[in-house]
Amino acid sequence: MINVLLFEDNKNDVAQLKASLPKNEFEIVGISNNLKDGVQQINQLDFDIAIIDIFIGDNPEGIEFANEINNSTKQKPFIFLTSSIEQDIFKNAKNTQPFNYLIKPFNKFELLFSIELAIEKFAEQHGAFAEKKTVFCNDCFFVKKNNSLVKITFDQIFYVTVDGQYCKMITESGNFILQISLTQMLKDLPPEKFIKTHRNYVVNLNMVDSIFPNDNLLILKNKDKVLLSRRLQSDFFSKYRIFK
Amino acid sequence: MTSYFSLNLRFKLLFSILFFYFSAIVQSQEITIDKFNEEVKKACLVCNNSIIESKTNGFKDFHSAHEFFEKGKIDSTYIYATKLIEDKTFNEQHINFILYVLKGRVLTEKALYDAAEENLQQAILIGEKIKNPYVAIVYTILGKIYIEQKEFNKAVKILEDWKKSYKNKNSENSRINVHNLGVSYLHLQKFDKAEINLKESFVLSEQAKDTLGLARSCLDLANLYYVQYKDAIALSYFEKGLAFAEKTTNLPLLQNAYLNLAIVEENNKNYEKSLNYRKNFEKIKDSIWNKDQVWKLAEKDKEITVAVKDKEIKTLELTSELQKERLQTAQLKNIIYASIAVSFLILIILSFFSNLKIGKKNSIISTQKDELVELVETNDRLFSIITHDLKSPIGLLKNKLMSAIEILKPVNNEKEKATQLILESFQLSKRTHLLIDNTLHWVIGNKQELLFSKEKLHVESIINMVHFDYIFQLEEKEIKFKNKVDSSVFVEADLNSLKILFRNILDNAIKFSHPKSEMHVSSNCKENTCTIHWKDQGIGFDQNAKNEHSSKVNQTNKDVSGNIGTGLGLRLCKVLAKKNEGSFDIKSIKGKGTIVSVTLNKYKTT
Repeated sequence: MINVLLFEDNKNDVAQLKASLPKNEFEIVGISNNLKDGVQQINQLDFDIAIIDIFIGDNPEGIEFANEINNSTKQKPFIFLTSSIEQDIFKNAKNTQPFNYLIKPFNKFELLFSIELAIEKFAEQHGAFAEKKTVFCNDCFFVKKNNSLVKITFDQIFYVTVDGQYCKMITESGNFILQISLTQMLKDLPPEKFIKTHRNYVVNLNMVDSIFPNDNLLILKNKDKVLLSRRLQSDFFSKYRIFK
Repeated sequence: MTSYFSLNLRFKLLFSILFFYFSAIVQSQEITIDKFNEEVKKACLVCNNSIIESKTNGFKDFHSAHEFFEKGKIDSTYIYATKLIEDKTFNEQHINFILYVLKGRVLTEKALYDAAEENLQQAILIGEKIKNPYVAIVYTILGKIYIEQKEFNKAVKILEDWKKSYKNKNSENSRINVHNLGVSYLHLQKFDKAEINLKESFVLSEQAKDTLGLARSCLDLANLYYVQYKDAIALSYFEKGLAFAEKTTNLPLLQNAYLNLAIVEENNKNYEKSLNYRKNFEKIKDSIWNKDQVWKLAEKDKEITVAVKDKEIKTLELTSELQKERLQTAQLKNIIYASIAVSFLILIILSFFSNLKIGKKNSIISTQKDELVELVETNDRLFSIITHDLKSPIGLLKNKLMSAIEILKPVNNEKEKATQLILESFQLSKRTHLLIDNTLHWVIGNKQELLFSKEKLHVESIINMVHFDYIFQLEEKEIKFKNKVDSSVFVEADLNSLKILFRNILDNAIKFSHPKSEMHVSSNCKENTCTIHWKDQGIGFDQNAKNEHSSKVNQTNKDVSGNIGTGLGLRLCKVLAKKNEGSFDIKSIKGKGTIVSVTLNKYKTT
């Protein structure tokens, strides 16, 4: 689930935003219509992206809200929402280095595209989704599957295996084919959580259910069987304290 | 004859002596005056610092009188002295005496001898009474006056009067007086008395070692004896006199001595000596004359040279002035020329700049004018279009919604129809919205205030975004839409304007497409550019008419359902494509279809 934070005072726009965001992909974690509440939500809520209306009433409070995000400890991508296409409005907004603008009125497609663009830009992987690439972002990554954006945290991954030229990621949310090599994938994953058990497998250490060293086999929590090569066994075991 | 002649000659001789005596008296007068002045100062209280007394008495005037006399301003002295005497300011006789003396002397200097005599007589009267020692001066002056006037009797009388009070005191004055007395007697031909007095003068001069006095005395004694034909004694005295005269610097006296001797020796037939004396006489005469002449010549020379110098200076001044004037005129001319040149230069520069400015302004104005004309034209058309175009779809919308309400009112089961009407209304509102959006972009784009920032854009996604809005319309007309754009195509463009561009193309394509036709979007990339082709199977239009179409906003075409299009959308497309540094092109065959091509810059991964 992708967590969205809204800063919007127009009820119609809130309604449209709610309607436009696919239920099974996005969750609106907070909606605020003033700076005070907004700042509180920034600090308290866990969100992946913020959608900010520049004008709250007649004041460009959205710009200050964006600054608050930029100044907070957890930097996140955000989108500016506005009904104006005139330059003046954006002069101040520009300084906050927004990741995208969305002009009202917008359709569902435009909103989703803007969110994708914002995430790409935030991860400095502009155009990655269109090229079917994975976008890594802090402790998670985003993948586009069947025209929908999916966020996968590292904890959700069981293991990653090779699938032809690319790699296949088996997660709690399903399986994903990533246009990336396993070696490259391993580099992007945190080494304290993931370990290569075989030339074709990278396993999440937390997902290991049982080990069968004699059979060179691991059983993961989803009951999948993963190979553990003899060569890499010592590396694997160094990560565990084994009580014999 | 001889005696007569000689007598005549001797008288001539005498006269000349007398003449020189006069000058002798004048010379010696200077000394007596100095002494007299001392006496005057003694009497003057102002000079003796008795300031208080001087204020009460007429000493101020007295002081002024003798002060002016000392300075030679004798007129003022006369006025003060006369005033003091007439007012009888002073009772003190010695002061009155001084005043009379002063007055007399002033008159003497002015050669008013009668008046002078009167005053001096008065002075003597007072002076004798108070026994003033300076009475002698008065006698001397009086004597001088009388001799001058050849009143020898009077001279004798006054000098004899003096002699009564004279106590053999050997002074300059007394020597002169005695001498003058002697000379007076000589003139009166009282030779014995003359001899006594002249001899006394000789003795006195001898006592005082007065060489000049001795010379004079000797010469006059010589004359005395000579007149009495005592030639031998006379000659000895002449020679004595010459000897004394040679010791003095008094040239006229010496000359006189030589002349007398020359005459005497001539009469003695002693021609050699006479000639010698005459020569000496001439020499002195010459020297005197020379002295005078040389002096005069020198003076003249001086004058001439001064005059010449003056002239030179004047001419120099003149020339310098002339030069100055010339210089000034030249400078003036220069200044004038320079100023004229400078002003011309300034004028030229100014005119050049103003021309330049005017030219610039003119060009700016002309371009501005063109822009304005275009703007005004477009604006006018725009407004007419807006009003017309807004009017018809919104009118239609109104009517359709009305009929939808009418259908729904009797609550029949024609739900499908109602849905259809509402769908149509939605489409109309959609189109109206696009028109308004276009207008907005047009207006803001003209104001150069459109939000515009180029970035990396995924064309396929954008086409999908735009397509999403038209799904219903495409479904309604049963048009098959195919997005065949290469998913790897990225262009560099402004997202918002590209969306508007594609929206207009799609809207237009749907309008002019026949139902159940197909529509394809494809991409064709070259090295730096990507062209997106929108191909429809619509009614198309005449290519020739299209050219005008794109240039005239109010050119209208009827769409498939007979609705009139404006062409604003297409015009805006051109503008936006250009703004994205791309191009916009339409190829159409009437009855077959249209291909709209948008060429944009490829995104460069740098």
